[in-house]
Amino acid sequence: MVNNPEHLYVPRLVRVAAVVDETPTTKTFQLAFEDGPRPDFKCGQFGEFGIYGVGEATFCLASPPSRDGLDITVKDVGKVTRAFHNLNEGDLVTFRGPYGNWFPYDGFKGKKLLFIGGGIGQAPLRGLLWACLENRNDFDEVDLIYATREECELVYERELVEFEGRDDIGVTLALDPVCPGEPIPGWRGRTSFVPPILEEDRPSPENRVVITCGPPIMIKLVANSLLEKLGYAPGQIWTTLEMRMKCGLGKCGRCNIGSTYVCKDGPVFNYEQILSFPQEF
Amino acid sequence: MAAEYYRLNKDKVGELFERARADYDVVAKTRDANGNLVYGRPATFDDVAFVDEQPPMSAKAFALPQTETLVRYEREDEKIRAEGPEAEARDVLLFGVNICDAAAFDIIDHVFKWDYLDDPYLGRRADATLFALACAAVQQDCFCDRISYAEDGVDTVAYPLEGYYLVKVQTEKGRKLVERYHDLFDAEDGDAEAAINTFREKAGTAKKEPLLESARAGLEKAFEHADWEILASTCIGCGICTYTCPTCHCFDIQDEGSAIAGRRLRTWDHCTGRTFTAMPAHQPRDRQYKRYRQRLLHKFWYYPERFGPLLCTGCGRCITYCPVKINIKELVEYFGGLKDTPPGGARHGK
Amino acid sequence: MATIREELQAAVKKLFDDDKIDYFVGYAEDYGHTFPAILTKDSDPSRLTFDRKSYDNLANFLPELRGSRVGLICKQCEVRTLNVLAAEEQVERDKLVVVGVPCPAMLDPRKLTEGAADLDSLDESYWQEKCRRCLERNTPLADVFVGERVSTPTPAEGWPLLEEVEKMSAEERLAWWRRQMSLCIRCYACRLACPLCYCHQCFVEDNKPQWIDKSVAPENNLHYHIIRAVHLAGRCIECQECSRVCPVGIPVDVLNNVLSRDFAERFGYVSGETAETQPALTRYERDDKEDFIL
Repeated sequence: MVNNPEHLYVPRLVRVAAVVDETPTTKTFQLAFEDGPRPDFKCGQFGEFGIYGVGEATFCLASPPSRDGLDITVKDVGKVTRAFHNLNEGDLVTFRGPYGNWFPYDGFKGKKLLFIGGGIGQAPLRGLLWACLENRNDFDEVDLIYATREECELVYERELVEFEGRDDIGVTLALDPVCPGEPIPGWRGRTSFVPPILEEDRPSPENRVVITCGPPIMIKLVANSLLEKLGYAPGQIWTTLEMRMKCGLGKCGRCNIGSTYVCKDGPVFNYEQILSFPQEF
Repeated sequence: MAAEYYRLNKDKVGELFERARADYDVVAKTRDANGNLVYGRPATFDDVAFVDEQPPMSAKAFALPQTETLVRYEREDEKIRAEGPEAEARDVLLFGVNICDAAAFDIIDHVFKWDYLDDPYLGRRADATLFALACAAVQQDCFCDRISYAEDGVDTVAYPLEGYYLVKVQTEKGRKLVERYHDLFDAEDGDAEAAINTFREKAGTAKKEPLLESARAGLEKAFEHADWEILASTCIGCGICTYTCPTCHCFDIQDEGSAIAGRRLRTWDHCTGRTFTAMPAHQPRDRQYKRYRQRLLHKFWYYPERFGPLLCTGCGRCITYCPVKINIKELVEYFGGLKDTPPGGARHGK
Repeated sequence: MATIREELQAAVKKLFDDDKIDYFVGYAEDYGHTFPAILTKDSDPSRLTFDRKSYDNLANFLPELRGSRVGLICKQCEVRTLNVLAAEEQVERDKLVVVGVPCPAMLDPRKLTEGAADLDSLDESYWQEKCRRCLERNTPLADVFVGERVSTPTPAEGWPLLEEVEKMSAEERLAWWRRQMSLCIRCYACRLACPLCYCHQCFVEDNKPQWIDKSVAPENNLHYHIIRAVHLAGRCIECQECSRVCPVGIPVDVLNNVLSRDFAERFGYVSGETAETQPALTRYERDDKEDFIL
């Protein structure tokens, strides 16, 4: 035995069932499995998606497992993502996965949930958010703070509008302040970075977990604010990390932070774990 | 299995090589076009360098080739056919490999077999028999005497003693090799372990304190040591240390070809390079010294924390071939608290 | 009489004491090697040296220290590099203290056998090829000079290995290059050891578009080396670091030498020859030969 033709790097082929324009630079792809049943996955996991001739890239699974197929939301930032943006309905892409760990969904039951998304970081939260809303009675309060630099960068806008019309989820949208304190004309949400919103609204740490994803600097500032100003314990904060990955299997060594393989031990981490990493990031 | 000991007459080595070629795909040291020693496939024993000198490139490529096809794909109309490479049954014999190269496979097996099994690597690994040749003297820059890595996974080790090789057989694969050519081997009835110990003392390859394993506690406190910046900033970020290393195993996955046909392949990659962790909007290791620090700490802290052994066999290639002669052993000793003086005297502000 | 080592250490100490520099980049000797070292005022200068194994082109470390005041040991190789970098506006000359040395000619590490007795006495047959072609062994441009000046022998003409390769028939030459390229492991040490390969993003790292395949194969490797050579056309100062650092001994600089010779023959141009030398490919003269265009 040398190479097994069915080895773990050989991907499945999945079909692009629909393409949704989210922002000028971001699209959501609804993918359908035709060569067999869709694999089970859990909220927070990711996959290696690719286009033959271009390569693979890592995307989080951005839809709840209860729905058919799966969604990925792709920002046009590199070679592979650019090629994804050129896809049409009916095209085939490659998929390996699901990989990585997941959010402790059952552990969140009965708790107040505060989702904090930043930019494209809303994508890893989306599946979990929908899964929680589908089983809304399992949870206490559910709130979302979603911040982007500009209004046109809000992904899942149609869903945000839907959330805003519901009374079982609190929604706060925020844009980066160009001049702090200056409202942006016509904008329906707040104009602020996330930490001042937290420090103003002061969601109490009692029985609450915070699930956040966004640019590293946002995660860090949000966590600092929660820990230092609002009295949260690190164990109440959950995040999902983006690191450059290639294999997704704990082999290629690219996503390591200390002895942690983000692709195997993550991408979902409790902030307590993050504080124990070598302070590389 | 319990180790077994045999004698192999020095003038029988050629015959062993020639006969093994009938049963194995035999890899041995030979010289390339530029006169470098390389692990290659010499056609006759005349072209074999059965010596303890290290080739610039380690033997890892036989289990983890620098470039390997993972998937071939072909598009026909609306259909895409894709599959991994066909199985190729071949038993490889690494003939006269250095112990530091041979023992490295056991170390990197850990990462390829934990959780998901990496079939391409493990397949080639399972097919390889290691016939190692012990060094008669420490070589330039090596420090295998300072790392207590396990050698019991090396199928056979030949120790060059006066007039004959003392062959220590440590695994079933090794026993199979000796059984196949049993008429070339004689029983060893002396105290073989004592002879090996004496040989190693004389060669300078016997283990010496303080072992580099003991640096870990210090390294765990040294992540933010101010001197990383000054001591590792001479690193130019090339791939020599990782590519020549028998234990560095990080890789990249890339596609080559068109939308119609091509292959998905993996190639070696190096954490010391500036693109290794660079993402479109974020580069976590944004300075060269941070990238060098990652390589060192991966070997002497992270990997052992995760899998047990140090990710290093002390072969010294990363020093010998480093364009700027960064010395990983010296840096481990310094940052790990085993010595007080930084290499070259370079120290950052107080 | 003070040795160059002592003079150098004293000069460096003075530069730090007088607060002229933040960093000193020189060579240190330790664990049996001479290697580049970056020192601060708190470093121990007693390992600083300048010997015949002071191989590295130290100008390569300037980008890492950009913004700081740097003292730099300069052989002629570094000086010619600085001349090119200055013409390309890549060096902050006012922040740089050039420490000049008399260069004894560097030894070729591939010609050194272990335990070679007295390195100082080894003759020309042990030199690196570039040292036979050296224009000036006493650092021009030096702000501080340590050691005693030496005489510079008449520079040798020609590039022996290039000439040897050119004597081959086209088929032989292709076969020779293919053999060399089959050894390349694409570690990119040749590019990274080159002080004139300073692009923030090299074409080998680009992927939009991807200029070059990542797989290690002779054609891809040759593709890389040729493009790199062309990017250095009229810029390469022949320090041969690319060849010295190659772990598998590919004489990478032969490709650069082809272009250097063309520039010398066609334009009488020697890259980095003086501080006034302008880059050949950014300069126009009315009598430039244009016979190669048509």
